[in-house]
Amino acid sequence: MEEAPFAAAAHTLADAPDAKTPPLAAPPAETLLADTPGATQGTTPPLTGAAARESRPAHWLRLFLDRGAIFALITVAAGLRAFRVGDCGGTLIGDEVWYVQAARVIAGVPVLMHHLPAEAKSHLDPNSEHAPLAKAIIAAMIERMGDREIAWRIPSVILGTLGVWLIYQIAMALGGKGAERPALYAAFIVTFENLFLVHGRIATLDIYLMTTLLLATWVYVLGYLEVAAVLFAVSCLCKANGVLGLGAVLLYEALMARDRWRHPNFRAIGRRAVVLGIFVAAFLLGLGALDCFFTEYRSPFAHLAHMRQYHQGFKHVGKPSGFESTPLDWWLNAGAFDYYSLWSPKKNLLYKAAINFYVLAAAPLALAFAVRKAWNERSPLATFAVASLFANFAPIFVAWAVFSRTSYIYYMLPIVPAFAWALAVAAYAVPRSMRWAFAAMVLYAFAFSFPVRLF
Amino acid sequence: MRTTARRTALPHRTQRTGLAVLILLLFSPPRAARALDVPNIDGHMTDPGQTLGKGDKTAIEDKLGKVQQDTRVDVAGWILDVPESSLDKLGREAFKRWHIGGDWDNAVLFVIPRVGRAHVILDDSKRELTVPEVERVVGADKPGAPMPQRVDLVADAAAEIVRAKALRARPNGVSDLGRGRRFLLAFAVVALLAVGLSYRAKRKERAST
Repeated sequence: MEEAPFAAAAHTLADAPDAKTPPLAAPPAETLLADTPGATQGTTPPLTGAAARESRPAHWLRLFLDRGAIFALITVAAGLRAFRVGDCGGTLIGDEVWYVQAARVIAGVPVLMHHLPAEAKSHLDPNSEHAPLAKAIIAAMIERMGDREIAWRIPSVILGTLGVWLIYQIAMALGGKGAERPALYAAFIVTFENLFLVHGRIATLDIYLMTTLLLATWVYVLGYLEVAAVLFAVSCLCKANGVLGLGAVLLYEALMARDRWRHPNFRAIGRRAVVLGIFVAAFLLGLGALDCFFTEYRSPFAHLAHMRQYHQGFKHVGKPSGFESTPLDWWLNAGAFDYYSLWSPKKNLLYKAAINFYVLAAAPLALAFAVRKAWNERSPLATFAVASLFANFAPIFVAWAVFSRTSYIYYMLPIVPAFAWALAVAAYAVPRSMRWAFAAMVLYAFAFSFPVRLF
Repeated sequence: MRTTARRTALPHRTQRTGLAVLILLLFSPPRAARALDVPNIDGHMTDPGQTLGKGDKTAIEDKLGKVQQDTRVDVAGWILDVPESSLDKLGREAFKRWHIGGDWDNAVLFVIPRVGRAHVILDDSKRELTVPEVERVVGADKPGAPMPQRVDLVADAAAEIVRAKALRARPNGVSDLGRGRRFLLAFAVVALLAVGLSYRAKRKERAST
């Protein structure tokens, strides 16, 4: 009988103390992730026994009490992201100057000719260097709710909050039994992490990319690989970096199966090939549809050629200038800048493009610990944190180092979940007092960075 | 000899002094003209008397800078301590001397006296605001209120009008809805196929475990 190529993953997971599956009774390769002991931890448990006899409200109440901490955290996350989100007097924050302007043109509303090409036309996307999906959503909100801040930013608030929940769910799915607390810890970190928070309050493409990526990843780790491929394609329709998310899950699987490479399971590999095919097809067809609706391109290939040309030309040789920074700077928060700040006797607003400095300071150590844990113990959560970091950071680093691609600190956003997972893994390997102390430090740094400091 | 020289020099000195006084009198501006002295421009909001605090000044600079950036209309202000009657004259002089709006599409200068109501100065060759709009801006001023509030009110009123005028819908572009729907249909087919494949794999997986 052919051995599963990713059997190592199942083997490791089955070796875990909580696993019920015998170590060598690896499930079919293509279902390894879904069959991991914790793969369904994040989903609603089926009703059995006494629970089955519960009334529906009682069941939901019990579920709420069981999951009270994450519900509370999600409520706080939503509150922070929504707090005075429309309080900047119509000012566009950060890259909103591009994307909200583009959305206004798509919505066909009157617009100032600012950050727009002279040939911009109503109902078409003037910002053709990115796929139009996220801008089309913002445009739909402007059409429905009017041209105001709430309309642009509500989707970001929802997606930012959903992102926190998905980070929790992914940690639950990968962490197996007993993952509840590390998953909560990871969710706690991203709730109060500045870059994740700020992007959950402004209408830029990054939070659309981030949340669809997390959703696709979660669906993937639950074992619905083909559906995840479509979702990865959707994230690429928001911003092309979505492809790095698919790279992260594939790298994760490769790392988990690293000692089985000599005995590949072609059936499982074939399924991954189908997944890639579905991803490519969904992306091209989705881009084709969006192009016909919102651009003058009639073929996705023509649009892709334009995007490639634009991004190849988006380079800066020499020292970074303005808001630019290098991927090395980001590890020191050196490329941080203010998206928007207003200091007046009446209100103080600050939207800063910077990572929570305690999270950033601890992340390299936590990631080093995650590498060790991934290598020695094959911890799925630690391995995924490492894979996610590598898949999302390495291409950007190479683009900068080799092709002099212009880069900004907010390109770190897709890496923040990897920080959170690695920190959660590390936090549960140290004494409780250190864990709490670090949580307090995260809150302390958050208090400095919160967009509305004084009222 | 020395005495004679001194005697003869005295009238000359008096003449020279008289001449100098005469020249000074001729070239020195009259009192009214001296009032036209305009200070150096200090950003969008010139406030030589420093009636605005540092925070207020920064906030109004940000606000007017944003208006200029968004509309390509230079909206500027000047706080001064002169009677309301001389505001227009001074304002026009400042508008010229500061080259207001010179590098932009148009300009609006509001001058706010410490006592009295604000005035609006425009480029007469291309007036950015109509008479009712000027009245709206002037009407927004509350002469009794603290200066930062007055500046905010006048600037907001001017900015609102300028922004509204600069807003224009772009000419309509052409999309291809029919082709887009075909792409969308194909996308939906791929998505359904993906759902089907995933559920089939999941069912098999459950059966095998």
